[in-house]
Amino acid sequence: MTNTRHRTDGGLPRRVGAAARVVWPPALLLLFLVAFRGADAGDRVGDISAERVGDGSMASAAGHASSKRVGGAAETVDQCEQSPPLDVVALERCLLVQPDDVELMLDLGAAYESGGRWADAEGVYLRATRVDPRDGEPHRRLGRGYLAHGDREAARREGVAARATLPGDPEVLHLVEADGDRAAP
Amino acid sequence: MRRVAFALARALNAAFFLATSFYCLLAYSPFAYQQFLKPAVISWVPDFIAIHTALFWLVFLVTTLTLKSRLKRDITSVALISRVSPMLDRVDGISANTGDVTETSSADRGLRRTATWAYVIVGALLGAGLVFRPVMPSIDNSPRSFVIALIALLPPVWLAAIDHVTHPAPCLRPSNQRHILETCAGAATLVWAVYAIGAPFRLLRTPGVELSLSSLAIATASSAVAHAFAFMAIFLALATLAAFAKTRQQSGSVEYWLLTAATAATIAAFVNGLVFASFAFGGLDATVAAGAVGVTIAVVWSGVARHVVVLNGVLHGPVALPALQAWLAPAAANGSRAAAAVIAASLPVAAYTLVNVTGGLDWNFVLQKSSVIVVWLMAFAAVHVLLPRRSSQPGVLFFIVPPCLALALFQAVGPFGARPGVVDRYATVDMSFRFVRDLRTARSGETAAFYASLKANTLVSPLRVTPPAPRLLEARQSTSRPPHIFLFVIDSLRRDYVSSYNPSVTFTPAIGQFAADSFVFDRAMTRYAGTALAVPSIWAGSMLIHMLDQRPFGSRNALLALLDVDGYRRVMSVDHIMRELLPPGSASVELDQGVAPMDCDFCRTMRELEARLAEAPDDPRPVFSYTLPQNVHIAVASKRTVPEHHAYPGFFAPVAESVRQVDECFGEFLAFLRRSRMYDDSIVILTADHGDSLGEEGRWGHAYFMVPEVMRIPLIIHVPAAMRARVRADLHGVSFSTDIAPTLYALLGHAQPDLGRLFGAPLLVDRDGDLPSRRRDSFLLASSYGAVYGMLRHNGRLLYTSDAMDGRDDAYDLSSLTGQRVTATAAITELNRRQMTEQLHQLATLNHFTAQP
Repeated sequence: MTNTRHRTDGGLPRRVGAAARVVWPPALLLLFLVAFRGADAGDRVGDISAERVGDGSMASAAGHASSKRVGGAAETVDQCEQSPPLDVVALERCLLVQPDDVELMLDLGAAYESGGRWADAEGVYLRATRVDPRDGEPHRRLGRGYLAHGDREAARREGVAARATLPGDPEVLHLVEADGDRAAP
Repeated sequence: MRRVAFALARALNAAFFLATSFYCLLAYSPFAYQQFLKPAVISWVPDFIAIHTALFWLVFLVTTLTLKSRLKRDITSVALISRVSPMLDRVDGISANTGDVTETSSADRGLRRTATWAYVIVGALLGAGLVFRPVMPSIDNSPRSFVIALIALLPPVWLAAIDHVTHPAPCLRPSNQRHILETCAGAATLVWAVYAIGAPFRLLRTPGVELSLSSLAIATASSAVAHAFAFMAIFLALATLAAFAKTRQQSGSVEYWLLTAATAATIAAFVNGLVFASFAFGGLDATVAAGAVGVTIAVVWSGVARHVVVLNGVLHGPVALPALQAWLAPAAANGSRAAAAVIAASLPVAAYTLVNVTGGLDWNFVLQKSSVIVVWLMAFAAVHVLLPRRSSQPGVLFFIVPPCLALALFQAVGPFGARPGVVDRYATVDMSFRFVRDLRTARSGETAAFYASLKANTLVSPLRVTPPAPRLLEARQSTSRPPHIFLFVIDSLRRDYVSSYNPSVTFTPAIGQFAADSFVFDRAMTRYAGTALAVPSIWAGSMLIHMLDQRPFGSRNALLALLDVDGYRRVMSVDHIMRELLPPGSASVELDQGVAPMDCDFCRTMRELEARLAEAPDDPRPVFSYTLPQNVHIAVASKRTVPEHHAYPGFFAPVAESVRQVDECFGEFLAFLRRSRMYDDSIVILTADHGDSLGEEGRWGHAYFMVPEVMRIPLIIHVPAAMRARVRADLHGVSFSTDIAPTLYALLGHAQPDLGRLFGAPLLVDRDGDLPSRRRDSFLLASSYGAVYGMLRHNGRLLYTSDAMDGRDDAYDLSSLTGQRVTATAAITELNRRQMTEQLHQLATLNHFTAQP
């Protein structure tokens, strides 16, 4: 009898209140779990917006992308990374947003050379030697260019620089011997 | 005092049987058996096996002492029960009339004595059996080990059952939710502060981690939010258990058992998800084992808790305890506020020390994260005791608001992602924050599918693989006698600990001198971040399908094929890895015979090699020698004593001292070659199977990590002068340890086709020949022990890694000596993941393997 009265006395609000007291902790815990799963941790590399290129990003590590001023910089970096272009204009655009990318410089230099633009090629190779002085390839190309333009001393100088990392390379050996009169005995 | 002694005895018992069980489980895991137990990487494990029976008896005797009174007429318990019995009538305020306590107790005592005597008799018989036939030495990689692992957990569970039936169930009432909430808030603050206080000190000791004051402040704030979130989640979990318990009769007892069950489940999840996963032990058997471990620890804890609670009841009078307080009893300092305050005050030092002590030899942060759990528990228990208990029960809103605030802060601040670089660096010095961060494993469907595909290609079963036919075997007999070959692979030697790579190094003069007339490859990398696959890949000259048991390896052993074709006399170390790479009965003069793998010492091997070479001066065959010395390996080097007069500023002294010793013995061996007129008739290769982490960002050793200091290796090749005069190289081009075999092929005049990016390529070719152009290529790298892969691009300058174990991707710029962590765009991520998938698919196809995510 007491129980019956107890049940009817509170009515619906009491029962709802009792149920709420049981349900709120697991309901809130579920919310916590959902929030935790959605937290930005595991995917943070993939989730990073392309807009963030430039500040120590991998794309900019291929060449510090200092250029927020370059329109669509992030998209350009992505394109350059995914399929390096062959034509001069596209390569220049890539180099603008990846200014320290030695591979791009070598590609661009080769494109300049094939277009007969040695001065531009020289500039970009010199830039590559400043970015990575130990890389022999830009030195070799510079030496080859200097030799073709008759500057044997400069060719030899580049040959010596290239020899440190390209030992035994026939072209480099040829460059080292290019300035025969000045070559060390 | 008696309670402490009892708890220590039970802890000793549980620790012994859990250690026994863990050892058997490690043996059951092929990975752990091959990588840790077989080569005896952890030096005290063989000692544990050797004295296992003696330890069993020690533990058994200590345990029996705690059961002494129960073996008699149980007078103590009778008295105890008589005093405590009123508690039995007041469970949750509901009359639980137990009738005549003395009668019931008498019947129970019979059962208790029987169970206790049975435990003692079975234990004694088992101990006697172990004396005559020890089990542990026979544990190997077989299903029997799994069964023994489960059986080993029975004694502590049995003992816990005795503890439960010995003591009457204490009178329990539902926990005070307000007190739980306040405890969680207090514990969150305490734990956050404990680790935040230690962070600046750890920053000073951790190489490669720099944080400005503002970054440190931001990261510390992120940590506060993360801890508030985590402990509010714990509050909600406890509140959920309490709420459910309240719908049942005897709600205090129900809540207590729910707590015990939740403890078992949490421990099982931790063991399965972190501990077992770190040892490549997965699947149903791992889940079963983790469940068994969880239940064992939980019931042992509960047994101790009941003992402590009942004795407290005897000492302080029977009081109905809140369920959570009873459950916390073993860690709650007997309820003494003074003791709890001391525990809370000592936590910063304890946390700092625990992380430092466990860090050096940790594996995938398992020990350090375990230490975090201990600190969390101690902090929670201490705060629970310290905070005053208020009897008033506020409304529901009072309980809902703090968690909602924590949730809102968590969502607003995004403590893991707002400043990824800063937060990542901070996580290396705040293990508690790292623990919370790493708990999150969920990710987008696309990423989850990618990680699943990585896992499907990792540690695959040999039964599902048909290795490719040999492709590097286009060998032909050289016209003249080939030069001798000495291939020294120094386990774990970092390139920046070698003077040819780092001008700051002053302790490798011999290697420096050797490098002066050799080819030093600037950008040398290992393909695998661990010995298990790095060494086979050197011999195969290629990437390998990811399985720890590469047998039968003969058809893929390109280097061995070359040595056989050219008639080399092999004088080499044959350790547990090498033995599986050589065909049975393969003729070798074996160095280091009878030496345990981890004891392989370069100086001893060089002396033996010199002796062996001197033994047969007239043998016309060229000599090939190989060894994999362990001097520099972290497990060996960390035990080395550094003489006071040897200073290595800027380097980890034990490793630097080890490298110095290797250098000295290397120099002596080169002097021997020169004296024997062999130096200029020899190819001498000095390299490493992989590097090592020596505290960078809190990492030590080489587990799953794919990080610059582990992937970069020294690679120095000396060739005879005549040969040097006719070869060319690109020392600045990316190179791999898998290039060594193809380079030897090329040097010895064996033409071979370009087999693609998964294979090695010659690093030294005839001057008229072409060097492979690799500047624009991308190369797959892998961890030896788990689903962690990398992509190396831009002439070895950019490394991108995908860690499916910890659920994270990372990117590094390797331009500098130590490398630098960078972030990547979504497109770069997509590009690298696509290339990884493609190359893994190529590797699978080569091995006729179909991955099934």
